[in-house]
Amino acid sequence: MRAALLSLLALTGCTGAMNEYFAQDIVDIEHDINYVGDGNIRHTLDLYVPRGANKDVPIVVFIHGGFWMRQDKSYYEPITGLYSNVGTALARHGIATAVIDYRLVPSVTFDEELSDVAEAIKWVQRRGEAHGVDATQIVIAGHSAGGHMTALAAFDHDRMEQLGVDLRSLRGFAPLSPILDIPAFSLFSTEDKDIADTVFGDAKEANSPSTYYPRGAKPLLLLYGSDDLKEVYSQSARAAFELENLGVDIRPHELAGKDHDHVVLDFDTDDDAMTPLLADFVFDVTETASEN
Amino acid sequence: MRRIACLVILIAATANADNRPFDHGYTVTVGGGLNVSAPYLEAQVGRRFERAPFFELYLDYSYGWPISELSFQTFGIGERSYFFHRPRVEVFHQALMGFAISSSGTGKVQDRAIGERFLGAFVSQGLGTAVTIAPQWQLSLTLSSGYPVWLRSDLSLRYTF
Repeated sequence: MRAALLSLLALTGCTGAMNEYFAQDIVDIEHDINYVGDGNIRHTLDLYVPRGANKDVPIVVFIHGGFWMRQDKSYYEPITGLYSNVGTALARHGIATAVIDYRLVPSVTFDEELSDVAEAIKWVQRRGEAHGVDATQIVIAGHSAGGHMTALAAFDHDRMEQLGVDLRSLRGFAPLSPILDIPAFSLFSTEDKDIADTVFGDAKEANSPSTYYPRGAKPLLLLYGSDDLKEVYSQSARAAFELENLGVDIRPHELAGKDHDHVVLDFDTDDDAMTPLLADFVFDVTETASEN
Repeated sequence: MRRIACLVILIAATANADNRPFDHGYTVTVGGGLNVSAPYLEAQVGRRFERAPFFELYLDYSYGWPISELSFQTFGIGERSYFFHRPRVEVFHQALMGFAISSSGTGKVQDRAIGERFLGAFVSQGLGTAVTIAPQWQLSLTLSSGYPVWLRSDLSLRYTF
């Protein structure tokens, strides 16, 4: 009986693989493109380009979450659908996506982790056109820790420029359920403090997007769930208020009934409230024709 | 005890005489079901061999309603192994492999050459039961799993000649 239940569970978990297979009808998927050229599997990205697309397709660089220490760009993909669901959902709206991997703490420092993200963005800027996307029309998006790095890229321009990223092609930023204030995050619980200490050490302030408000006035789409992690919810709601008062073009959306995980798990499902918002944002901030 | 034995022999003999599945020859099957929740229709032509009636080889075609954006068709080759054989009922294992192509698309999904519509290979295997409803006619129900469709139900009508 137990074996039967496990088998059924394993089978029902294959929805992600099925969805990716049939999604090929509308999206061309290139897996494991090494953006550094060093053979490190963590230096790879998956590229999703709408089939039949013209060269003026905008592209979202998507940074996965996992508290800077876990997950990858195809995290239990056959079961969860992550993160091909993001690439597929955006492709349905005529938007390309590069879902990136990056090295994780503690194998590397957070600075090296962020530099990997910068390398991936630079690869899209250099090579995107050869893959059928408009590399001058880029939106950075990420979930949770990826949302943190998205916001850091949005506000800490000096660091992005030092890492060689051409800021002109970055048209907007879309942090989803992000961690925006590292010192506040580390005070929330013992577990959060341990994570923050491990990842950032004494550089919590320097690696906190909130430190750099309101630098970087490019548009920001902020999505978070009504049932999100308490620390994420409170930080997001506060950031929306603060940034709006600082005159930043911020577009906050509280997603009803979504918890932290479902803000990303529900991409390309019947409960996908994120993709329409993200797609509208992308077409609004980029100089590309919308799907309509 | 002797009465029971006689009764069993009598039933078996009667069943074999009147209701035994037509267990060899060419088969034509039409049916349909669900790819998880998306409906499909299918047609098969096959062959059950006289010297190995427990084995059937068949060619499979199906038309599936969209799982992603577009409808699709599959083409495959499969086999059934009938491992349980009773006068009116058979139970079988089946395996099918093939490939799928999506439709050419319309509207925002542009028309594409057939090579661009290729979705890739698929495999499935499952268990089914076939009930003889009339001489040469069977109704069968199959549940399959595989890649990429992880659960496929199938109800079909088979004619053997």
